[in-house]
Amino acid sequence: MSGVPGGSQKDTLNDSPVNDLLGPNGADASSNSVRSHESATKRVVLAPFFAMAAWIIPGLGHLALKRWGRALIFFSCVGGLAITGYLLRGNVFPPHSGDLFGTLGFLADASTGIFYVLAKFFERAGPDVSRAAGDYGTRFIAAAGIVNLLSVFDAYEIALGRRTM
Amino acid sequence: MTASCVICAFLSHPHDPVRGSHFFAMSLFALLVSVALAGLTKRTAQERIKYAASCFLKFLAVAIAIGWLMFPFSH
Repeated sequence: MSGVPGGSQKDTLNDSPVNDLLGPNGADASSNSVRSHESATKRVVLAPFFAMAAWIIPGLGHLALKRWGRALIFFSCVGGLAITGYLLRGNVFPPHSGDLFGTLGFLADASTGIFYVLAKFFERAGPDVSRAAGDYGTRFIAAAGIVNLLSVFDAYEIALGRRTM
Repeated sequence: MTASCVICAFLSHPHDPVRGSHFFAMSLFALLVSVALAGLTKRTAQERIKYAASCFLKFLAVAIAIGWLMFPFSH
C-alpha cells in the first residue's frame, strides 16, 4: 500500500498538458511530491483561465492546451450553428429579459462567447420568429451555446488533467 | 452576393421553400451537433468520423420517424 490517498489521481494530473506550459517545475513534478503539489495548485489556478478562453472564443481554450483538432471542431461547429441561427433570423435574448425562460435563453445565447457579441453584425434585420425559420434560428443559437458550454467544461477538465484524451 | 444570400439560397427549396428549408436546416443542425459530439467524446479521427456519421444518421432517422408519427395529427 503506497500510503498516498488518491495516488492514481496524482498520476492523471501529471499527464495534464498544463505541465508543458508550466515549464521545468511542471515537467519535474512527478519526481518530487512538493513540486507535484505546487504543480497541481498551479493547474487549479490556471484551469479557469483556459475555461474562460474557451468561452470567449470557441476552441481557444483547446488551442492553448494544444488540442488542435478539438479547437477546430468546436470553433467550426459553434460558429456554424450560431451564424446559421442568425441568418435564419433567430431570436437573440437580451441580458434583462424579465422572465425565467428569457434568462435561460440569454444564458444559452451568451455561452457562444464572441458570437453573441457579433449577433448584430450577422442579424442586421433583427429576429423574425413569425416564420418557422426564425424559430429554428433561435434553437440553432441556443444549441451553439450549449455545445460551447460543453467545450468549456472539456477544456477545464483537460487543464486540470482529469481528462487525458 | 452576400454570405447571407448564399446561405438563404441553400436553406430554401425552389418549388417548396418551407419543406426544403426545414429538411436542410434539420440536416445542418444534425451534422454540426454530431461533429461536435464526436469531437468531444472520441479521440482518433477514425473514431470521430464513425461516431459523427452514426449520430447524424440517427438524428435524421429519429426526426423522420417523429415526423411520420405526428402526421395523423396534422389532418
